[in-house]
Amino acid sequence: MRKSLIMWTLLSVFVVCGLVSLNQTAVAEEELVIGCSLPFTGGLSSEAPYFRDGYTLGVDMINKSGGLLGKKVKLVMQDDQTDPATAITIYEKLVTKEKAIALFGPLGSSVTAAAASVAEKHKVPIVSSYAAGESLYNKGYTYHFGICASSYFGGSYSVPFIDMVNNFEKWGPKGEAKPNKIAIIGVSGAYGRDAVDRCVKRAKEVGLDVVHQGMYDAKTGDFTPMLQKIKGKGAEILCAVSYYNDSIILARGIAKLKMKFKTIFLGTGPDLPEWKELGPIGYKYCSAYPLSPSWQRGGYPEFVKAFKAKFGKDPIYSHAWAYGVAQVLKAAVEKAQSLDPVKVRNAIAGLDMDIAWCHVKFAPEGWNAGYGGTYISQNQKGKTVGVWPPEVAQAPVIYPFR
Amino acid sequence: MPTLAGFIQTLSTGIFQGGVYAIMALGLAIIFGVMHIINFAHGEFLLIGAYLTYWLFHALHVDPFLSILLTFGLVFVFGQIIQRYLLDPVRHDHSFVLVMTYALSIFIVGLMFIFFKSELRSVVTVYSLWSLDFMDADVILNLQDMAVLVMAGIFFVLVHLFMKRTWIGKCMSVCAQDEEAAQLMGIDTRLVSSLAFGLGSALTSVTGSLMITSQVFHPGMGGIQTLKAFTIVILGGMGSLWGAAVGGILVGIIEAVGTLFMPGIYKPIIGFSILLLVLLFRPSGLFGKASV
Amino acid sequence: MSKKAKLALMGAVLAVLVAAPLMLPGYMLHSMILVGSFVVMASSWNLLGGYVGLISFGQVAFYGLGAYTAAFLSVHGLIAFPFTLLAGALFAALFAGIIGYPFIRLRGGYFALGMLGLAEILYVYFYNEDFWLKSSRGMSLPIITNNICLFYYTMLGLTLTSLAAFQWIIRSRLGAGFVALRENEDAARMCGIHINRYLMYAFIISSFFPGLMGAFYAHYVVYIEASDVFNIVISEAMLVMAIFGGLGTFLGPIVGAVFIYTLGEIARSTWSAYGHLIVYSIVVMIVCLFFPGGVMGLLRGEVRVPWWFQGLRSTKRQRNSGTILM
Repeated sequence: MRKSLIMWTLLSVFVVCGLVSLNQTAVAEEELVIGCSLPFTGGLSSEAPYFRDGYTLGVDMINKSGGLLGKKVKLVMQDDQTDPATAITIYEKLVTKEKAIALFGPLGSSVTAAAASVAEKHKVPIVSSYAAGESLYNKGYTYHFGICASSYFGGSYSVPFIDMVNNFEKWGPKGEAKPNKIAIIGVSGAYGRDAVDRCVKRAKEVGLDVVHQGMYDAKTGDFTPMLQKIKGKGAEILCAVSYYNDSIILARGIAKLKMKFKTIFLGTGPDLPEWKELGPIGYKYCSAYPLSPSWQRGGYPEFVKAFKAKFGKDPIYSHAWAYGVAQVLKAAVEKAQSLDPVKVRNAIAGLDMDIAWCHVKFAPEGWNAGYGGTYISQNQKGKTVGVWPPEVAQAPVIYPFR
Repeated sequence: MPTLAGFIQTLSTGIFQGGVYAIMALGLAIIFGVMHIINFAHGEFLLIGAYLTYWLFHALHVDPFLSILLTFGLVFVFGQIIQRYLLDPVRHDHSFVLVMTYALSIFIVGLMFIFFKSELRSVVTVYSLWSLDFMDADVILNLQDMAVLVMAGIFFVLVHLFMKRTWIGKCMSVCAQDEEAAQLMGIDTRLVSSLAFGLGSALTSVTGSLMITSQVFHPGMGGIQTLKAFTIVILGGMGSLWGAAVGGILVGIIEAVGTLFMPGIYKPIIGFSILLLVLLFRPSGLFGKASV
Repeated sequence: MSKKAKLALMGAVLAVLVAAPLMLPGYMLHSMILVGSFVVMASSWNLLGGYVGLISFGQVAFYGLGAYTAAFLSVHGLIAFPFTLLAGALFAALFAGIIGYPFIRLRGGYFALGMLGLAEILYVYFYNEDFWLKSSRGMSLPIITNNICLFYYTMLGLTLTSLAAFQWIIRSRLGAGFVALRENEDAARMCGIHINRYLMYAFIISSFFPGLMGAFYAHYVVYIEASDVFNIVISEAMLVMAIFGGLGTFLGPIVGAVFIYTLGEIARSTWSAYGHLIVYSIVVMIVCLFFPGGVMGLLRGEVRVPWWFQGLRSTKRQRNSGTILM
């Protein structure tokens, strides 16, 4: 009997601790709170650190330049485990308990949709940097803004590569015949499927011969059978709508099989700092680059300087995206001269400005109509160099690939 | 229809992959065979090996094939500690073993996230592209992959000899058949099972070290490897060493060749379908004797 | 506790639950909705794992099927919200009934792995499906309401009904049959229990409820992707909650769901980023090591003392791996 008494006491202590810590008040009165969740664990966990650094730097920038209407800002960040239900808990808590005046978006379409629904309910503006899904913009959410262009409205990140191939005479070596046989593959999932469809459509429009079209699963650790299949079909160009993970596996497979492509495009990867782990086999790959190589407006130089000072390395575009979210919020608050969420929301909707990586002007559905389109870069001996379109090209394309 | 060269190339890819699978499954076969527990943290031991190799390669420039020795030793000890202090007390309660190994897998994943961050990691050696080319470079046999296959073969022979010839190996076989009888014969079953667990997890971590030379690692990818290891062990027959080896190579080949004939997205389904088909039609596997 | 006291306690809990939306902020209500869904799923898992003794790692397969059924029906506007919930659950149960027979012949780890494989196959299918459902592009459902209270009361109703159903099943002839099966299959057969038929009943019942919860979830978050609704973490959560609370008891999964959810929530909001994984896993390990009957066992006073813990207290070495003190 005494034992069970002890057990009951332990239990009730646990429950009380739980309730207390769920209800703790953590906010100092003077600080404004901006809330966000990022997928530190779960499916998108490899992306989260970039956005954490970018958001942190953005909030630092706001505080260094005098805060929002003179008030310091604090960023509250939690792990949503790439799970919409967890994200709802976090954002509900951020809005109702921490009294967040604005929210930064999470990553991934389903999680962002969940966060946007919370923002809509409580009428707090949310600005996201990495969500391009159609469903986000056609559900009538008026408090959600995405600064990256939606692939459904603004065109896919991979389509410019098809244009680049089509305009071969503008950059290809003299005397070379234009390559014609293209293989288009993409990572499974909403983003990859849509991008592959668009690329195939565009390639057929401009008269390229699509010899292979297919999807692959990102979890598969080995792509050599698929590459073998493409090799058998005699493709000269490879256009892969890929994430970083599959890009690396693809690059290693291509090197291993000594495939003789003329030029290769990988969605993300060749432009990231981690790509250097691959060494020389990672050279000469093209990739989509959302920042114009010549873009120096919107505080971009200051951003690069501050980033190097704080983290001791060069930023990549994901950092710039996340940083841009903070710039949008700052500009909107200054324009509205108020911290009232509804006024801030209206100010965001009316913005027409440059941020660190592009121009921002939101369409009524909340996607960024001011975004200029992607550029094509190439990894040249470990350096990311802009190569397309010609007006921003920093160096000629190295051709052929092998 | 794929060409002959294409087919040979794919087949060789499958065999190389299968060799790695075989060693991974060998570890699980030992653990299951001796202790009859289902270890859901199996894939996470793979991560430990892969990340140790990664760290040694990038921080101290140790060759991945050399680092195998260190990985093996470290994880051998670590596995024994896990078995003695965490799994042994609950081993008679199967549902608790499941939950315990599940919690263990989360623990290891958390550690990997903290120490190695969530970026993807890979090891590229200078010799990673050396190869033997046949048929106008249509069939390319990568030397590093061949070395991995040879290593897998060596490990298999060593483990086989260990299980059949040494005193401790024989003790393990006895424990696998009848633990109580083994105890009555004066065998310290706790020591034997912790050695078995250490050996099994060390073999798995060696697989990780071998895999990171050609694949990319991320702290969250242990789970899928666990499932694959189980697929192979069940295909081969639970607890059978030969079964694990043959099953590994078979699964590697079926996956590679299957991709030639069906869309790439359905590659993961191949492995799971094998698992289900074997479970439903021949639960004792190819080499297993015990009925379920 | 006397019957009267029990009734009074239940009434009080019910009153607090009904009045909760008046007092609690939105995120607490949202947490309670999630807890409610986990209570139902852990209890239904307990029916299979605790009463019948079949440990499943793939119940999320039915959760996902329920979610996609509801999504399909409401995207095409075929039937109204309450009926989509029922349809999701029924479809999951139907699917279980069709594929169930080969599975229930498996035992122990084989059953667990078979179910895990089934869930993964369904995940890969829905993740890549682009022909008629187009689930690979993500499915967006019409928004029913933005009022969280409505969802809360729906979930409360579903949870209470489900729990009542579980209690009724456990106390019926069916429940007695399940326990008999778990304890000794041969003896149960001797008593005239049709083993396979009873296993099928249990399998179908324990797939009905995840289907129901999946359908609810789809309406609740309005946008679903295969990686969310076939997330293996959901399967693992059901299992951990049921075992943590105490297998084969009615209250166990309820207590387990509340505890584990709260623990995960506290860990996540206190140790941000990755630390929460460590804290969560250590707590689960400690419970596994020391409390073999879960929380309900702890209340009965069951404590396990691992051999090395005994060694710490006295040098006398025990042959047993762990002693259970009652």
